[in-house]
Amino acid sequence: MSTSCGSLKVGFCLALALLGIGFSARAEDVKVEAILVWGTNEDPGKYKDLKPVNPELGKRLQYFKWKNYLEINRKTVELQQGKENTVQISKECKLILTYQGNSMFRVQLFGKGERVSDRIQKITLGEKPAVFGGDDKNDTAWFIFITRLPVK
Amino acid sequence: MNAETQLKVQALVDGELPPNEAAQVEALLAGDAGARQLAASLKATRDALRDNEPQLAVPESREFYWSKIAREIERLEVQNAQPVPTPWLRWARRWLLPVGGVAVLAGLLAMLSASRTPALSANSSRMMPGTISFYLQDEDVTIVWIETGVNSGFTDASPDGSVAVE
Repeated sequence: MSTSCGSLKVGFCLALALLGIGFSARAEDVKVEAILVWGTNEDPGKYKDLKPVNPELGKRLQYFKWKNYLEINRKTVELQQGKENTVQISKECKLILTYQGNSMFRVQLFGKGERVSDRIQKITLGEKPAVFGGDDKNDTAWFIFITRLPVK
Repeated sequence: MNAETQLKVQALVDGELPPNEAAQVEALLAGDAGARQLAASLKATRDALRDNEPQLAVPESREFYWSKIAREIERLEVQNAQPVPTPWLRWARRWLLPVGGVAVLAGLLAMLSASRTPALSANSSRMMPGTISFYLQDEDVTIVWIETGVNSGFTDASPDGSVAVE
């Protein structure tokens, strides 16, 4: 009798523990930062409102042909798992970010109303950013860095 | 000598015949050499077994020996007896086990839904034309290059030196 009671208690506690785990596996909120960078060979002094990118980002752009990389815009947004969030990164371009859980993000890029990229990207907290880029007018280029930030 | 006669001789040697039958068999032995030889052989065998059988003694007396056996039987009967479960234990077995099973299943389903993989695999793109991804090994970073054309509008640098942002 003592053996059957003991196994019953263990089974009950295990079931309760698993219920707790199940309830705690709710939607996760995350925070990301999107940085729009402009790559150009022009004199950066002409663009007083723009500042050079930080060295950490610049290090990843050194392989491209442009000499100067200027930060145009920086947006921080909190995402709820499963919900789309639009980030207007420039006047005519936007990102639609969706957090899918387990550090997986759906990143949609729109330029002038047209979707130019739709990608699932893994962006882990504390690790390297996701980087997108493309050509722009006057032989320049644009880059977007998406980094995960801690949720405070 | 037939089998019935042999049995009667054997019974005579064992002392199992009633007096009148014993007298008949003894009269038969007087007139039958084969029967007398059989009787003598059976007697010799009986005597040899009786006189040479080893006597083994148990350490305890007969009464004490059997009382030990009886006590062991009673002990085993008590040990194997199934107790009647209390009412609350019966209730617990009836309801908690299935509820616990459902709870385990619900927990597993919740864990599975939280870890569901997206429709697209990691670092994959839908079939968008003009997308190239390349990996910079030194920096351990993958860059997705999108051929958006020079009029993508991402930066919209204007002639006056400003860049249109939101």
